[in-house]
Amino acid sequence: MLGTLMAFTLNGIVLGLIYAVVALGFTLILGVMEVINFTHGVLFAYGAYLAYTLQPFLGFWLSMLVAPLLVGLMGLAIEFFLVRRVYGQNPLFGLLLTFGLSMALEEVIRMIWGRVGRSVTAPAFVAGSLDLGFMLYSRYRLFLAALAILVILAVWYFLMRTPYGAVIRAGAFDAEMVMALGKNLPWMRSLVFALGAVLAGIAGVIAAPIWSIRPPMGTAILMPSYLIVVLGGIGSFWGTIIGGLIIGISTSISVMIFPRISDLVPYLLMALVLIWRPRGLMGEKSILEV
Amino acid sequence: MLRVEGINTFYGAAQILFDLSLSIERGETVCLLGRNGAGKTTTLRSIMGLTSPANGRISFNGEDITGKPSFVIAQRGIGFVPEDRRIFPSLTVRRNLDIGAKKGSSGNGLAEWTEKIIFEHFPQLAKVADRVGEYLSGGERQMLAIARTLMGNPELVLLDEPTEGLAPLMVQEVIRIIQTLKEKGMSILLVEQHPKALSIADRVYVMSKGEMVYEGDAKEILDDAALKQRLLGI
Ligand SMILES: Nc1ncnc2c1ncn2[C@@H]1O[C@H](COP(=O)(O)OP(=O)(O)O)[C@@H](O)[C@H]1O
Ligand SMILES: [Mg+2]
Repeated sequence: MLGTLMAFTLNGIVLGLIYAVVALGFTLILGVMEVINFTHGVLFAYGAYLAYTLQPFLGFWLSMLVAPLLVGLMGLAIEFFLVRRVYGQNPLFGLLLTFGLSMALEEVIRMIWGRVGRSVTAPAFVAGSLDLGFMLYSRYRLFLAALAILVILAVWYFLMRTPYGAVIRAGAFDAEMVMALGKNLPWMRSLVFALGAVLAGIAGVIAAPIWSIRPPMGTAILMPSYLIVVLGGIGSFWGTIIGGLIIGISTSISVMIFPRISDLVPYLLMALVLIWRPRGLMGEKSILEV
Repeated sequence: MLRVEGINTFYGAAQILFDLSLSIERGETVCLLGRNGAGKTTTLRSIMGLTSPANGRISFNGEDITGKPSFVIAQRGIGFVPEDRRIFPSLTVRRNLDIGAKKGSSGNGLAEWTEKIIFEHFPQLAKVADRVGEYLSGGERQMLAIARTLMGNPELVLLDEPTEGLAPLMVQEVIRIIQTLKEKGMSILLVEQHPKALSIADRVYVMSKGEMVYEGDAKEILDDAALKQRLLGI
């Protein structure tokens, strides 16, 4: 029993870290541009599918690099041709635009890769399991967790420690002033959108070997990401990470304890947190809301 | 160097500026006066491209900048220090300066501003260099707002009521800095109510209800008590 609980908890942490990477991109776009980007989930799916397609040609490492970059380019194009038209407008426009676009992009996945699920094999060097002393655990999942943590720290460093990150945070707080100081905000916004897309892509690539790749996988991850962002506090960096872990662990454990209502648990958690703190766990001390 | 010709600016349906013109030559310090609500801030916002005029023409160094996005206008060499300072509260003083930074002197014999030179001219800021904006005093915020704009190495700065709301000692300090900028050859458009500002200025414009009602030498106003009374109510 205890061993099972440990395994489910570990699975939950790994799941939570993937969620956190996805939700980080989502909240970055929401925090800086005030657009709820419904294409975020389908971009996650493109990350996984592109990795699946590229791996036979490029190998594991290179496809891991190239697939998220391609997803970033998709994000850049989506922002440049479509999303930038709705900045500063009724938030409903952005929501409808990206919602429609995500459905179209999901259909494109069905057209290119078909309806059936695919699977990606983890590379040999992380195959099998590792003895943690108290239990055996999948090497690939550990590797995935380490990668996710690395990505999260890299994003943190970029936002909090580089001048470019400072411009992004300042732009989220007072876009007009940042422009009046000579910073090309339209270009910066495109880059933030692309960065958000890259994060979705990375999560898709690293999650591919543990999840079966299916066309609706993007829609499936969108809801938890949204919950995490609301739970953690919109635009809050650490709130998003903590929210990701909470949703990941609670989903995983509830699957074990009450499988019948496990889908409901994240929503219940969010409702509880919002009753207690309407702005989410770290809503006031957000990094983007400078 | 700056030429504003017959601009009309609106906020929504409300017309704020009426056929407004003004000009600033290189190295000049020009003071823009007028009662609250006269449209001084709107004039600066129009020049900066933050509230673009509906018609009329604004040119800078011979280039038409009417309707250009504000970041382009800033990159061309116009710096803007807003009335309400608008520093970034969660960023440190250094990071605030970074946001304004554009490397390289704008030319025209103006020396380049760097963080080091800024801290020499603003010793109070050097002391709080790693403090976040949120914890700065009103005076420090104003210093930072000016310093941040200077980091962009502008040729012309638009200063909107820089002494407003400051303690007398800080007012002195701000005026000293404007004086220094003038001596360095910077062109300055200064919106200011403080009488001291008149003694720094070369030329003065006065506006009322969105129209330019007077243009003249600063000396003229200072020397002519009746004119001073009529235009400024002081
Ligand atoms: N954002 C705005 N929307 C509508 N009207 C405005 C706005 N800002 C200023 N105004 C109006 O424009 C007029 C000029 O304002 P402003 O340029 O700020 O004057 P000043 O800086 O000389 O005090 C005022 O009547 C003010 O009420
Ligand atoms: Mg004003």
